[in-house]
Amino acid sequence: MPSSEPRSAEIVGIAPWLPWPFSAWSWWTEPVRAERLAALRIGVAACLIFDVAYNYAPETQAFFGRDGLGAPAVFDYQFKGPRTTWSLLRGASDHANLYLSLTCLIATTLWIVGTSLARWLLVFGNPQPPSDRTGIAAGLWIASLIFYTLSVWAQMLAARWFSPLAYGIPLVGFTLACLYAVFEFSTRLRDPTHRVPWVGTFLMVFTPTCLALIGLLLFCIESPEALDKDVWWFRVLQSWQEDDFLILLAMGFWITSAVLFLFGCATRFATIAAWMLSLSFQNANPWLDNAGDTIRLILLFYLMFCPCGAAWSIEALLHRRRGPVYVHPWPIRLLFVQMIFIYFINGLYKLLGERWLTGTSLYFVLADAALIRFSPVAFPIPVWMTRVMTWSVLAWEVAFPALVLFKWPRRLALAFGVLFHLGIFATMELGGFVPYALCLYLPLLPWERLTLRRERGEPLGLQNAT
Amino acid sequence: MRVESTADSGSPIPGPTPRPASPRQVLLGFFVLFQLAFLLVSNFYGFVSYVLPKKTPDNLRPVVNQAIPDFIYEAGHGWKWGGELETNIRRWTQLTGQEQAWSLFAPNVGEATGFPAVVFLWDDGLDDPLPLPGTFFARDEKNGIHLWAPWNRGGSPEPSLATMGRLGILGAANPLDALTLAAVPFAKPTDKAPRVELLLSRNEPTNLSNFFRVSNCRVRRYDGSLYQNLQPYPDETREKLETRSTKLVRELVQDYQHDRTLAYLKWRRKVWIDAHPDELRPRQVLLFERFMRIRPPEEGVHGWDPPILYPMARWQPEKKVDGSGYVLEYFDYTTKRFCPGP
Repeated sequence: MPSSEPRSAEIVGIAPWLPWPFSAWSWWTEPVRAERLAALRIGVAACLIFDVAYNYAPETQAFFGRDGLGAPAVFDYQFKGPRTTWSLLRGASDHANLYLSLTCLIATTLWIVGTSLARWLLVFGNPQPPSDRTGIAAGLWIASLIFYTLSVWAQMLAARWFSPLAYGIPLVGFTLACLYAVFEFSTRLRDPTHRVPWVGTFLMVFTPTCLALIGLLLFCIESPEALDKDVWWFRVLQSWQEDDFLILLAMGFWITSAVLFLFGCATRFATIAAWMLSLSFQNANPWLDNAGDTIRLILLFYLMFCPCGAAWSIEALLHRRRGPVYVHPWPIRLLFVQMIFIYFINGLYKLLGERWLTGTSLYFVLADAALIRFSPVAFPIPVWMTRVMTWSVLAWEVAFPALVLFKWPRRLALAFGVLFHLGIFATMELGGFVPYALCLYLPLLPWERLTLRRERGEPLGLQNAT
Repeated sequence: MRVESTADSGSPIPGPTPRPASPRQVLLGFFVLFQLAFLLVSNFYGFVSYVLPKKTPDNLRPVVNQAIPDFIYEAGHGWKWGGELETNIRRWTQLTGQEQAWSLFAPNVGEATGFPAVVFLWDDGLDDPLPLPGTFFARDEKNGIHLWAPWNRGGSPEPSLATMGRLGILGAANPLDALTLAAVPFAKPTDKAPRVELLLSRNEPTNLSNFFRVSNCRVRRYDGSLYQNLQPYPDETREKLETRSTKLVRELVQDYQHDRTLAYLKWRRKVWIDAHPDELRPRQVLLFERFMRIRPPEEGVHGWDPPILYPMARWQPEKKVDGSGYVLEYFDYTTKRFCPGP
């Protein structure tokens, strides 16, 4: 029965501050149903799980291991300064990882201590900014401190000399955590309504304490040069690619994060982990991936920053949201802009190719024995058909930005895009390119209609069909 | 934030918040604007910096040069400022994995295809293994210089060496070719051939005329990094072709490409050894390209020519390594010998 009570709508996530004209443009500001982001999350996660389980995991050692195609030494050049390429698989001893964790530590320290200081000083300021703390900054601070400390220990281990920095760096972290706690407690004393994040504060103090104690133990080792290189903690500090078990463990983490991401369980953490591991594996051997994997990274990158677990997720079930849930549209809009650039720039480059203008490009592409799905000798596609396909793809890509400006041309352009990708899938083996590219279309579909019908008590289309 | 909805239909919900924007909102706003600028600049600047210097027609160059001085000559303020901008954008790209290089099959498409193939040799210390007994170097206008070998699976059917030599003379394009072909019957036909094993790429179908592919896209990408097209240009002389082919092949054993090529050869050898633990290990590992020219639509026949072999590089696992770290040798098409890289 449809409920007669008014349902309360909820907007999840942070509304970005945008200047004019964006602030006056409803396309950028009007919230959209959370089901659209949820569909994107589920689509990306499903593709990721299949991709990792089918294309990467069975060949983990061959693709990323020490004797494989992506042995750490093969791609050393990728990780040298001033490049900012990084990969967690290279372990804490890698300099790129060390500097990144240090940068992240400094940034989060400034953020946490700065905001708590501002709150303490302006506790009676009017008007107050909204309190929208999620604890993610504290989590990042703790993770950065751990990783940076491990990196410094790895350098010391390589030099076989533990200096007082082994416990000094965690002690600096401890001091900063105490400073943060002082600000929080002082604010509480001035304003009894202020909520102190007890768990976060405790973890921020506890973690550097543990690290300082371990660092002190390492400092007290009398002869570091006699340390056994085969002990597990020594291997953890080195490149994970050098160790068969650790590289498999990383692959296991990747799949686990994708599964959590799919079900929307600890979604923010799972999305960050999925993005970091996707980028780490890609950078560990960039010669395995194609444009589809770049799209995967872009999708995960945006999903990290938005509440993609607000609907159709375990998180949403736990929150017991009764009414419709909305999210701010910026990630969907940015992805749409990205999509326009993908097709338009492709089209512009194609305009420069003689074979595209003469209409024979797809004839040659569909005869490339290295990537096609079936032999053109057994299933020849008529030349006239490849000409029509070549020119229509060219016209569609070049005109895409103009077509999406209006409702019906937009629908036609998007429908053509889906057919284009399905055509690629049917004729070429490009791994995850087609599934990931199709994920870009998911947030454009009105998924909320499924929920709206249920909310009104109407049967779903699928149920009708069965 | 919890607000009442006027209806379930999904109309706009809340009014503007009376509170000032929080630091988080400002930060997120800047992030959105930065991403927009990043997409705009990285995509358009990448395209413009490619097109203007390389594709501007000669008659338009003076006009373009007035508007943006020296840019089309890859010099001047604009080019250098753009270079700085591009470098900074690239750092953000590397950090976040948002590569903006969208040119699928563009601007040009390959008119040929190929797969890397590995040949194992169990020899008695052959310094110059090619041509092996029973094989010879051939040259034609479509494919350039390549090795004909009876063990090249699916390769063009050839008559016996002796017949090939005699008939080949009739088809020679110039006196030099005629001399070369005339020498073919005497090209080590009676030498004792070492054991040879050809390993095709895992991505290469067993039957090129009829297959259905469902995997190996990752291996294909890696294979692609070893691909070289050594087809001759129209009217290219033999000497020029030899020099150009050598230069292209040499790139595979230079700088960072050396390690990538070596990793491929090591991996193929390791897989073979794991599958044949009781057999003697090969003494030489040769990298070939199984190259196939795609028949253009004008020829009226779909598909490609039979695969031919381009010698590329050699690795001798048991050979002592010098201090440079380079262990691969490239194939010199001028001298027809493997030479130490880089």
